[in-house]
Amino acid sequence: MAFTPRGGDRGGRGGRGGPARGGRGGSRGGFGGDRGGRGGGRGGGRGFGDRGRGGARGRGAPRGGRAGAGGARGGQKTVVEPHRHPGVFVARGKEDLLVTKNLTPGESVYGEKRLTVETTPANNAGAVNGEVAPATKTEYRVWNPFRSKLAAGILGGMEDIHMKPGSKVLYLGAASGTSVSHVADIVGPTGTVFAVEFSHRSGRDLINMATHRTNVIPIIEDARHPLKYRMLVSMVDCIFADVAQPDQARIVGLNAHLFLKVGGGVVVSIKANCIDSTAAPEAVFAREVVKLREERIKPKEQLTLEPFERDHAMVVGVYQRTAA
Amino acid sequence: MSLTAMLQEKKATAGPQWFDLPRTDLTPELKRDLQLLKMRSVLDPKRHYKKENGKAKAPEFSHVATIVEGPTEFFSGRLLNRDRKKTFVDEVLAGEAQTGRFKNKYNDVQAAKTSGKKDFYKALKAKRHGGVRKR
Repeated sequence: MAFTPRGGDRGGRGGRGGPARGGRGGSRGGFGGDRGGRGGGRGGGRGFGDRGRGGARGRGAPRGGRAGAGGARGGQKTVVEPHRHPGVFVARGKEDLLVTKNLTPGESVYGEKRLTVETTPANNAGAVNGEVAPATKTEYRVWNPFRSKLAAGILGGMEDIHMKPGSKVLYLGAASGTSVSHVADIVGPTGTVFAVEFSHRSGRDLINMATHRTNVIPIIEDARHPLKYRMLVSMVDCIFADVAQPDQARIVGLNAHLFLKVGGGVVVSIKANCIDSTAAPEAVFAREVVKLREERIKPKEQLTLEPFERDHAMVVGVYQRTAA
Repeated sequence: MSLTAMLQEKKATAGPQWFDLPRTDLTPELKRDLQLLKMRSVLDPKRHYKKENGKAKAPEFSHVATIVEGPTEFFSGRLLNRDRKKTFVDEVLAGEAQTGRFKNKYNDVQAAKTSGKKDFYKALKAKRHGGVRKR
């Protein structure tokens, strides 16, 4: 790339919001992080969630823009309904929001919006044997698909997310624990999330989040060496991986062989750029799926996270006893 | 328990899979809210929604919730207390009082609908020599 003064225009396309799918962000705005300059999408099709907006973000910066600059505002009313996936809910109002039931009512983990429901004693479902249950407060937290790959996958129409209330999930690449907090909401107080993150810096936030959620077990360790944390992790129902490493398939395989039960789910988010930035994304995804197969993970579905993330794919597989 | 009895006995909650979300308490207000939700595509011409089944019934299990803004959005993502309303319908009506969009739309439709027929004939009569005046 020839030298051109890039700073000024960096991510400038953010707010544009094209007709069909929102501004695409110039290739390599700013720092060459692919996350700059996307967003837009206002008025584009979905009517779902906080649209990501404004783009000037550096490498590895948190996803999603300033939350809540538009769209739903505090004080509005919405109707909360169950989503197709257990443990996930949809809040319907002027726009639809993906939400999870807050495990720690009264607390927002990363500045996201919440929904509160005042439960009067009369309509409280917890009433037992005619005794009136006390008035409680139920809370939900808004799950932004521009910040979480799993939320993007759910909105993209994943058939099965392999997590539900009560399940045990091994989460590789937990980062600051924003998505992890939602997974913890999904599995609920009876489930467990083992959140593995290598970086100390984001691990600090992860641990802070886990102090308030008893079902999250933070592990600051390299996911390449699962034996280092084998004493902390039990058999799990599902492995979610968002590690963005060239040897991602191998890392997932290692952990699956150690911790995943037969028939358990594997959900992998693949960022094409991080595996091989020179090849075409589709080719990269196909290669990764082959590698997963070699690790006895039978791929069941693959979808692109397109309106939310660029050149990402979500691959869902099932762990098998013998080679697929 | 016989099958019919089981069918009749409705579940009080959505079960543990959805953390005991209670059955919809279909008050008249909520009913109107849901009706409006179904027709929300007319509320804002700039916003587009997924098509919905027109015959879809009210959700079996649901809650009415109030949005709470995040800790950093007190001035940007929050309605003033005086602007808050009890139901979704009230919110939309309050918006209508500001923009008057529905009224304009109604007048447009009326103008288009009444432009022919009797109106046409009236205009014609007025144009005739001297017009036909009532005494």
